[in-house]
Amino acid sequence: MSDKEKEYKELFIAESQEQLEELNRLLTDLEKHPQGKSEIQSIFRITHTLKGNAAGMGFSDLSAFAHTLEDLFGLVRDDKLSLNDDLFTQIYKSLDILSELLQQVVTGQKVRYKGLQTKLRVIIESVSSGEANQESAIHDNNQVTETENDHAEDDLNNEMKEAEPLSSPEESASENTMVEANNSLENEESGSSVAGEIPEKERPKGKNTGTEQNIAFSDLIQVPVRKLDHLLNLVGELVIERDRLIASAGNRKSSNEYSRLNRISSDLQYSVMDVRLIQVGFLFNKFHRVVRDAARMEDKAVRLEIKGSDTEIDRNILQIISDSLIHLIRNSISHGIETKTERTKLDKGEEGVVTLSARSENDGVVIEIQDDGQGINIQRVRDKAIARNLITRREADSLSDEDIILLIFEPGFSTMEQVTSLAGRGVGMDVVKSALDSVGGTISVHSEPGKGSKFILKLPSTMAVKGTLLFESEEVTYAIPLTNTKSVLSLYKKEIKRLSGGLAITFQDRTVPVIFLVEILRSKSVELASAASLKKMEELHDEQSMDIIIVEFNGRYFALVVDKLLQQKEIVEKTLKPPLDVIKVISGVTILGNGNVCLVLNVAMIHNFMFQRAKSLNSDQTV
Amino acid sequence: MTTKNVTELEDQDMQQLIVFRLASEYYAIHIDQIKEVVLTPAITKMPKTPEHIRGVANIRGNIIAIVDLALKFQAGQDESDKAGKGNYTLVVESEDMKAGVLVTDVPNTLNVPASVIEDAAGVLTDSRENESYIKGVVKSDDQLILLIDILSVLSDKHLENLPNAG
Repeated sequence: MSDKEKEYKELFIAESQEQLEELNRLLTDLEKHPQGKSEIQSIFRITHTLKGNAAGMGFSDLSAFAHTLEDLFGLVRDDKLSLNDDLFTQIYKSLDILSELLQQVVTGQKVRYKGLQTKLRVIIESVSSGEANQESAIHDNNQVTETENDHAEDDLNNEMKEAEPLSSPEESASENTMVEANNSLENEESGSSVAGEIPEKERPKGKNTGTEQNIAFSDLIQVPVRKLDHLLNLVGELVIERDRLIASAGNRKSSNEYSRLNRISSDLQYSVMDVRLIQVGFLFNKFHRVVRDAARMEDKAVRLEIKGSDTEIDRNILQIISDSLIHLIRNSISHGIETKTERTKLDKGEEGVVTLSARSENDGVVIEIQDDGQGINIQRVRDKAIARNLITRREADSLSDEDIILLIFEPGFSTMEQVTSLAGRGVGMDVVKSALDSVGGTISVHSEPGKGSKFILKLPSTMAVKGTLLFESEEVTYAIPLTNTKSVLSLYKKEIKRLSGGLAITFQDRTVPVIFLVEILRSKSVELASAASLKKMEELHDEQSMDIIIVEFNGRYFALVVDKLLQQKEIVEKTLKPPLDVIKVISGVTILGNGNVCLVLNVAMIHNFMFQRAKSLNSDQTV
Repeated sequence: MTTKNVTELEDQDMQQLIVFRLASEYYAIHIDQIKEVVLTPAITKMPKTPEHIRGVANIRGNIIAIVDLALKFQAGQDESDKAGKGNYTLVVESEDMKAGVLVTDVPNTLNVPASVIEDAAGVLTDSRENESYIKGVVKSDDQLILLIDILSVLSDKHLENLPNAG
């Protein structure tokens, strides 16, 4: 069994044990107040969930038994069956059996449950047939029995057939079965309580574990995320403290002295991070419903395909982007997938496919949402962006298709002519982007007309440790995430070109704007920062080289001039506390080995600052 | 009995203040608002902050904002201060914020009965913008000491008036 399966099984068992405890509690409550509607509802719901989960895990015995209980409580709920002491006894026994069956999943020991199950079944049958004077009701009843037999065990099937032909589940037949059921149940009981007629070896072994089962402890414990966050913070501080210690003692002692400390604390850090990882499948599996509802509302046929659901990611990151994923999926269905008739006309098959896939890549996770719909209509995006005053017509002509597509992430953009209930309110895509910004992720889009579009989300797999490049600027040490760092260069003045009031270089056949970081941090607008950068460079000596970092964000490149490149370092980032939390250009801080504070650049914000054309245009309009 | 009552009364009424000098003015902060006094560590400049936020510093693993109240209150520069300016940092802590306040000399503590603290409105005739932080005025040895609520100084909205790109 693979690790994943094992993990699922553990989770299933833990969850089921909880459900069983809840059932026991509810049942005791119910016994005190037999009219408790809400308890009956809850019991019905829980047995239903238990049945579904067990069936999903392939534990057919457990699932079948839970199903019988569910049916029973269905009748109780519908007031067709009233609870009495005898019935309670049977139900309590059933819960014990359920608990044994759950134990069977672990131990593999056979549990005898069919007698009780048949007994319950008979109770259900008798109620149903007793009230069913009309033929239709009997018919329904038979149907139930038949479907039951499909996935219930043959044993029951045989017993029913033996007793009487299946076609007439009348009183007499039920009674016969009842007797048989009672017999087999008594056998089981005598096996556990009164040792006697039944030889030792034939005793159901499950019984013995069954009595212990009542106070079984789960192998899993539930921990609030808050506590994990706290633990992670502490580990982060420990790592910082370790680095400080090693740095301060490094001159005097050999670094071997600390290698054990180093290793243990690193192991600890990664273990804590590992505890916080969950499989994306937990979220992805909720999307079947989202897709179904969205497709229904739009009257489209859509199938969701999920790949790589065992990819692991930090729980908090998954939580933050879950709404974004929902939005992107709805967007694919609403804007991407064509209507049934359109698809048939295009010979694409009536059913559209949305593929949700996840995979680990480098030190991050890539999630892709792909549809086989019509693709993004770039001309419409272009027109809409002009109509919405996001860009001017002249800009629209000069922008590449990729840049045009990026406009859909601007606030206040929506291509849908009509506001639909799913997407098209003009909120959403920009919300998606800011959610990604907040966790340090990026989004890019590939679209082919007629073939569909693909949204690619690149996310860090953990929020705790960031690979960064350290550098110095005006005697302050900064860190920039490596995920955003495309390249570092050292260039002379003559290699940098002037471009419309600013600076630029050619990097991999792209024209990349160049700007001094200090000017970004100092200036109010990108124009002022560019002008200041230009001036600053002119003052430089021809022979002086400049350290430049090429930064990539959402497919756009820009170059930052810094004073001095230092080193690569994994850092534990701390967020800024009030009153500093309003500074958006710095996402957080970390403490260096020498005890000094290092500022971590928020690349998303610097990117927005560099490319804020759309925003400044907007504000011109409102003035 | 009577004596004891009097002592109790006095105890309840006594206020413990931390007094420090900014240029030629004296200020006081209620001791409850101060966590500790430390030698000022290395300060890292922080971009996009008003002038009176000198930067951030690492104090026992906590990274906190360092505030220069002299710049905030425009208390003026005393030439003699320059050399030793900001030798000490008062660490101010509340539930939702933590910051350091730079001071030149080791601050003094002052025990005064609550009745000695006068309402600021009666003393300050000019309506300076920082009046809202001033909780009262204490006269001690011919000195006028302004009692300030340091938390409301730090939590004011000035930081939010930053360039929107920030």
